[in-house]
Amino acid sequence: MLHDVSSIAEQVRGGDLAAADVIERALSVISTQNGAINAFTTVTAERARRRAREIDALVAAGKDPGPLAGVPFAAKDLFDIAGVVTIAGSRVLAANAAADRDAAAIRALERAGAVLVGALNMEEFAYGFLTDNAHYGRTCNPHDLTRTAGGSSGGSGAAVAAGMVPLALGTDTNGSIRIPASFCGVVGMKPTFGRVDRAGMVPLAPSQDHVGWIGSSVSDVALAWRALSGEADIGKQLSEVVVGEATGYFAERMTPAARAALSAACAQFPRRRAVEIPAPDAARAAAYAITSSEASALRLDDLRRSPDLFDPATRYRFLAGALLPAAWYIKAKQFQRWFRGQLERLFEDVDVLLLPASPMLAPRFGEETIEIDGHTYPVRPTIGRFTQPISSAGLPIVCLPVPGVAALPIGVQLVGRPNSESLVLAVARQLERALAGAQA
Amino acid sequence: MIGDRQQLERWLEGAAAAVNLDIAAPHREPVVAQLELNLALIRPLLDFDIPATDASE
Repeated sequence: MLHDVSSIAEQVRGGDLAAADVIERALSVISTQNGAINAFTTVTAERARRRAREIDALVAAGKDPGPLAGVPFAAKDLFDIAGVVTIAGSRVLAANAAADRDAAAIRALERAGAVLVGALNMEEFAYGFLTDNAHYGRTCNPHDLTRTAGGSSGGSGAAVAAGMVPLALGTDTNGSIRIPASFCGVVGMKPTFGRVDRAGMVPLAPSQDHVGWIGSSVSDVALAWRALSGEADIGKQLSEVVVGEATGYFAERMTPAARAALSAACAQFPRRRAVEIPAPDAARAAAYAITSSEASALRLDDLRRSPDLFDPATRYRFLAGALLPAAWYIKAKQFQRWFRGQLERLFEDVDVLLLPASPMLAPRFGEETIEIDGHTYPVRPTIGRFTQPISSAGLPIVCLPVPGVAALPIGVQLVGRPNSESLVLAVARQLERALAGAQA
Repeated sequence: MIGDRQQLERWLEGAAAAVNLDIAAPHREPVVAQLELNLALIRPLLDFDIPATDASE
């Protein structure tokens, strides 16, 4: 198991630990673990070794190697990596030329001293929550290999949970960072829409795609945020925070484990206020319509030329999405604008919203239905019940695990007003501590 | 009312022609099923009246 982001960076910066040794350790863990988990699609070992030597040379020369010095990280396989074909989980792109430069998010992390060690498996074109990829295999949950790591950034969640890397880039359009974080027991962060440069990535739905990342603790994802944004940490006690406890839709249709996680997290906040998120069913429908329409429009030429190259699990969503009436998409965009305004108004009364993340523990591969409160629901569309409705609002969200409520991990979401990442992270850090204390 | 089988098939025919998409025979049934699912998933949006002042902002 690798150290956490903060301690690696601190030791490498201080000359107490060689970046080259950290990278060798990461490559060794990947080599040992990846066969069973299938988180990585490409390992960029030589590039990582070269970069680690550069970091060590900077330290030896007394220069600043950056706040993430020597931290190994990997990127979902839709971010361009110079010299590697960006496959985005698909055979459709497999014959493309290799990328000639790194994606902006990779460059930003490497400027901060982090070291890229490879690309991570995902759902085809980031379209789904299971990472059961027909072309590149399924990514297994490190806590139980018979279960999904979640998706679409399944490789990102699994790689961090298995200790292969302490930090992994992902993207989130409808929950694709938050679901793997919840299922794998790690921390996922999705900053405000547009705050992280998306250049050099394969989009799914451009008006909802967010770049974010997964780490093993709130401190780790916060350090990455500080390195990328330049924002300072802020301190906040839970007693100073008014948390919005969502009623109605966001308190219904979840398994006992999800309900226990939400209750345990909620109990840590002395100041709570019930809030009702307006029109959640329509919000989810709008996010779905926008994703469906934009994703299919981007792939229309591929659908005309070679539909058989698509993963059967996504092919029919792409084909049907191409047939969506324009009037529905326009209504979804109108709704998105209205909904964003409604959510922002909620933050006049509360500092953050606390919501469930996944309505269930990670399902087993092949599990088609789930029982909740005596009713049977299809697994695939149920997974995103709590992440998808708020996706189109573009708010900053941290998903963190609630330990000790079930045999497998499950998380909750903390949602903030636009551009309040530092506040959301400060609250998440305190909540993480309080939950650990409550468990002990 | 969109939703019955024949309507879904007509939807597929018309919309696919409009975007110049040739949906081969083996794919037609799953696409129709997906259209039906899409309609169910998007229905809450179609049934929702966005407050006029906000929608026109």
